[in-house]
Amino acid sequence: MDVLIGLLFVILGVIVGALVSILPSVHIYNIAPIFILIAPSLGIPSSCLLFFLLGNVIGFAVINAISTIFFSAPDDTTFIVLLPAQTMLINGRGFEAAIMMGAGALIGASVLVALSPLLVLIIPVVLRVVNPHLHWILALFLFYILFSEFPKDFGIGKSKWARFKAAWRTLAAGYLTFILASVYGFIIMYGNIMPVESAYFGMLPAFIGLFAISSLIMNIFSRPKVPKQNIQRSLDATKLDLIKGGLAGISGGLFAAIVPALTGGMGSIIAGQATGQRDEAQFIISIGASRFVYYVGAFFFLFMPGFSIVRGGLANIAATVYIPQRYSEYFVAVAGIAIGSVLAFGILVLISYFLANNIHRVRYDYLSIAIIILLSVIVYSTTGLMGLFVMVVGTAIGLIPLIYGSRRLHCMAVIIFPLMLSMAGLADEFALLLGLPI
Amino acid sequence: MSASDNSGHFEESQEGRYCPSCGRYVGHHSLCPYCGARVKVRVSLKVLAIISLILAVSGVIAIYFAAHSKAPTVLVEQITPEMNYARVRVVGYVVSAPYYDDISGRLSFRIVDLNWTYNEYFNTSNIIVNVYPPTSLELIRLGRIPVLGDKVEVVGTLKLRGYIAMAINYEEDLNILREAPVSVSIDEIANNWGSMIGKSVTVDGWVVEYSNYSGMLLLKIKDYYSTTQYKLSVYIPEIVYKWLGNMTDFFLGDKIEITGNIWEYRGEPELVPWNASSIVLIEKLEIMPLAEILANTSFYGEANVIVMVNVTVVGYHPTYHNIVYVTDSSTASQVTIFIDWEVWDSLGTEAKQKLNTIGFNFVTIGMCTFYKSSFEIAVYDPSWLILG
Amino acid sequence: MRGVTHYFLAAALVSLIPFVMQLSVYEKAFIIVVGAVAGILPDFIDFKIVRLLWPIDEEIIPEWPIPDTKAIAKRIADIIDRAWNEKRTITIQIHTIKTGPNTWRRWYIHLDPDKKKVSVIIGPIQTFGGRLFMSTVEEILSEKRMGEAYFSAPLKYDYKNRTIEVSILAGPTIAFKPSKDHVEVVFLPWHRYMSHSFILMFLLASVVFLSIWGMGFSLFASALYSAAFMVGYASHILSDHLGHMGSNLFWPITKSRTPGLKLTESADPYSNFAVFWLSITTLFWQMNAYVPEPIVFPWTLKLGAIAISVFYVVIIMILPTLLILILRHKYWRPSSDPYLENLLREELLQI
Repeated sequence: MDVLIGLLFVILGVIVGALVSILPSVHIYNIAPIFILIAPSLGIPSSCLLFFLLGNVIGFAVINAISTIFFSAPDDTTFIVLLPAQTMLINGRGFEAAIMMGAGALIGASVLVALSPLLVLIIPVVLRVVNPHLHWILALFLFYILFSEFPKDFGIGKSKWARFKAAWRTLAAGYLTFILASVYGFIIMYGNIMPVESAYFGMLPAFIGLFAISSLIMNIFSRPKVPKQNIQRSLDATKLDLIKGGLAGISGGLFAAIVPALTGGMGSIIAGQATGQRDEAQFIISIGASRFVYYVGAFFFLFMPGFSIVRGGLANIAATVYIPQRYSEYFVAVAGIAIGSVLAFGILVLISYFLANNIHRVRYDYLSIAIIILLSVIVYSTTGLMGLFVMVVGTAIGLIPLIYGSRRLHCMAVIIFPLMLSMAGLADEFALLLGLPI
Repeated sequence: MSASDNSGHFEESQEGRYCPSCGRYVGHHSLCPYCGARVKVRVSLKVLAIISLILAVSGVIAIYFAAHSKAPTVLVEQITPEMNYARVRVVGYVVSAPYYDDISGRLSFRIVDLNWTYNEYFNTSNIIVNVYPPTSLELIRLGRIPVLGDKVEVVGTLKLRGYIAMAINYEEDLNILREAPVSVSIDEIANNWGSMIGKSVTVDGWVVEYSNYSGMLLLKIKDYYSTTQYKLSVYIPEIVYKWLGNMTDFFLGDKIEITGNIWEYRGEPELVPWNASSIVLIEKLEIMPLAEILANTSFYGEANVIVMVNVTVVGYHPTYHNIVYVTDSSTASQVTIFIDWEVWDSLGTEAKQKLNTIGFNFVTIGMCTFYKSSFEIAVYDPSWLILG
Repeated sequence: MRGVTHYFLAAALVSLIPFVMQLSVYEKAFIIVVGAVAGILPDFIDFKIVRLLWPIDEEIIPEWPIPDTKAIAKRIADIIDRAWNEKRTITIQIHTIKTGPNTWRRWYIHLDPDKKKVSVIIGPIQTFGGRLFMSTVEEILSEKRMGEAYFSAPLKYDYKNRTIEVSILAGPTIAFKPSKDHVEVVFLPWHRYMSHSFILMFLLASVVFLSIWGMGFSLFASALYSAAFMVGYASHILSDHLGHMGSNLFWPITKSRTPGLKLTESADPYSNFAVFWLSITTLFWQMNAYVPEPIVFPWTLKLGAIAISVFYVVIIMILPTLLILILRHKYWRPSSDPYLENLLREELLQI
């Protein structure tokens, strides 16, 4: 395989991935299988297909910021940045918010590239250590999410029980979200409710319902008026913010890439709390960095010669087609990440510029309705009526934290909880408890 | 109120500046009171442009490494348990006949490194090389399968259990390093084979033994005109005649030329052909008139030449009916044909009757030999007799 | 320390308990999770239960949008005097001033025991993340920005920072607790009052033991879970005691907090990260010790049954920690408030 051809496929993949990622809540994990299916008929060699997919995921990791910031349609990694991003959008700083996330992605890409010679030595040995302990590591994160939420009350109440109720309103909503999302995710994974033909798209309706549709419904009711956006020539951040935000994001993203079911956003939250991060600019930059390192890093592990490290949904699917084994392929991947991320950032700047100049003309509630319809069509076409039903249930669960002001992070129990049980060998017991056939 | 022009630039004047984020006039504030953004200490987009440039250059450097990256070369003795899954290069010799399982598609063979080093941890000097589909199928298609004695360069992933194994993932990771073959005689091999181990040679001779076993063909070839009368073993593994081309049809007595590797088996040299095409039929054994044989019985008998004759029975031994006297149209003399006892016992009654019928005409392959100074043609295999 | 630091410190310490890692790997146990949860349980109890049920005698609700600082100062001074005169503890809940979906107006209460003065200052509007909008101070007339009142009771205020900042979400609770010769200011009286008690720790650990045993686990496993709980819980109590506030270590036998050792600041991000790093590296070491194919680190010494890698301890654990502490020494300063410092120049100089 010629190295330049590999790089070309990465670039092509970035462009295609970027275009696809502009569409709100369209996740590259759900589109990539289509490319895998049609590649043989187009005569694309398996090795080149993998570079194309790498480009897709690079494009997605950078460009999906558009969807989160301008369309308020986040995914499972960006929902945590939604509030600060929307605040910036309302203040005419949507372009700045997008560029901040892009800056985080660039920093993430830089560190991935710089560390690539070391990563191939470190990651396989770290995985060897981590793999036997995954069940309790996942539980550790799950319970941290659960126990670390603070009540968002104002200490006001006619009696102590009134104060208690006011505070526990959000907490209880959070725990309810956690329980419902856990059971919901378990049933989807183990209950065989999704059609067999839609196996590739198993969790798509759940994630769209939990994170995207719920946010869009809130948009329809809140009817935010998006003002005319400004085009900033600088970011409201210092170089130290770039470094701190970037480092927190990279460490969180790397950790999430190593531990299955954890997303970059969650890793970034833990890393941010460990490093005392409070600044919003740092937070947005860290999310950009963690997303990039999480999505691209997880797929990049597949290129480590000789180890066949499969992490993340896309790598799982891609590994059925081809697993790279050569150092030359590894370095082409590194080159692809470097050049692809720069290209994706450039596309981000262009698209953000266009949207910043035009988004104020759009009725946000109408836009949200249109996006809901689009997503419903995507869900229906890939998973049928059952998928739509699952999406509706997910939407209902995803609305709970939005209405009661609790943590949306609890929704991630949809995937962490079933996976944790599976790794601990307790999935069958839980299935019996729920009355599911095993 | 925003004081930006259409390009988004914000101006600073003596009266103050505008917020670079939201564009509102903020006077001399260092933090925008409207959107809270920093007004002065900010990161310019030029910084991101510089990061992009550095990243792009790094990408180009990575491409350079991609084009020039090679797996490290190791000896067997250097392999340690920590190298599990490492991608390495080994240069050495193939020390076992490759085996190809056409059901699973797996190809495997053993190699040693050039220095035949021994690994103390794994107690071996061998590496088991495995190739799986589709790579194995591609190698079969290309005919690039090594044979015993080949010098090879193998790049693959180490899989270390209690032994050392290696998996090849790409067809270009297996290179057979064959030198141009040198033409040698069987006598030269007989005298110097120790120094010829692993060498590529071309040698010709007559097939004087031919055995077809499950998984291999074993021949012995001989130069009738040589001084040593040495019979050189030829080992043709199944993979050669089944998967590496179409082997020419040859049999006992035919003169063939083989190109392959000299290797050693149980203290004796053997020749291993590279593929089916490296066995060339030079001269097919044809029916020879008895007169020609009788004119030179000393040569034929001492060289144990394999001949094919078309003869007529003129008599047989009164006691040992497996000794048959024959002649043909080229001579009035008769020649003794000795049918080996086991061959005779394996013949059916009808065949025996025919061979003991005066005037019966048949074709046979036989080995010229002397028995108690008498010339005879011996038949040592039932397949040599063509009774019609 | 931050919650995440407590959590991972507890997990790391629990991993050092014998048999915990073996059970985690071979029996797929969740002992470490139990210990980690115990590590944040004391603050969970405090902030989500005790705080909400703590009896409040009076509430200070500042008027919206700009409160009368003088009136508030006078009210607080009255409360101090009443606590002294009536010889009873008066607990007040101070409320924040919410100005928008994500914004509050910051205000301050400065208590000066020497001058027997209460100063109430109104500050700028801020976001949840702490970003200040300084121009919002200019909406307030300068004479209204600070109000003062005097009290007569002898006040004891032992915190190094005499200014209470009231900013986001729910405001602080303060108790004015009279004793024989003074009124003591107890900041957040409900915090570490009962939750950070070793006695409560033992009680809860017993509940854990009985629960695990009741689920059908062996006595040994139940004891191990209980031990993990205690280690995690104790790690929180002891690490909190390194700070200023201290804890009521033997509630219900003791009635008030024992002052802390004043060695650390809980908000210090560098110290927090240093502890976090040490915890993570300890956890990783323990994880590595019990996997089928462990990493063999160089310079490993065997001390009896324990193997320690000097390389791991020095290069991976200690050196990065030292680097963090050096960075702390170079870069970290407690956050300053120029606006407040300007208004309370004299008082702060005295301190």
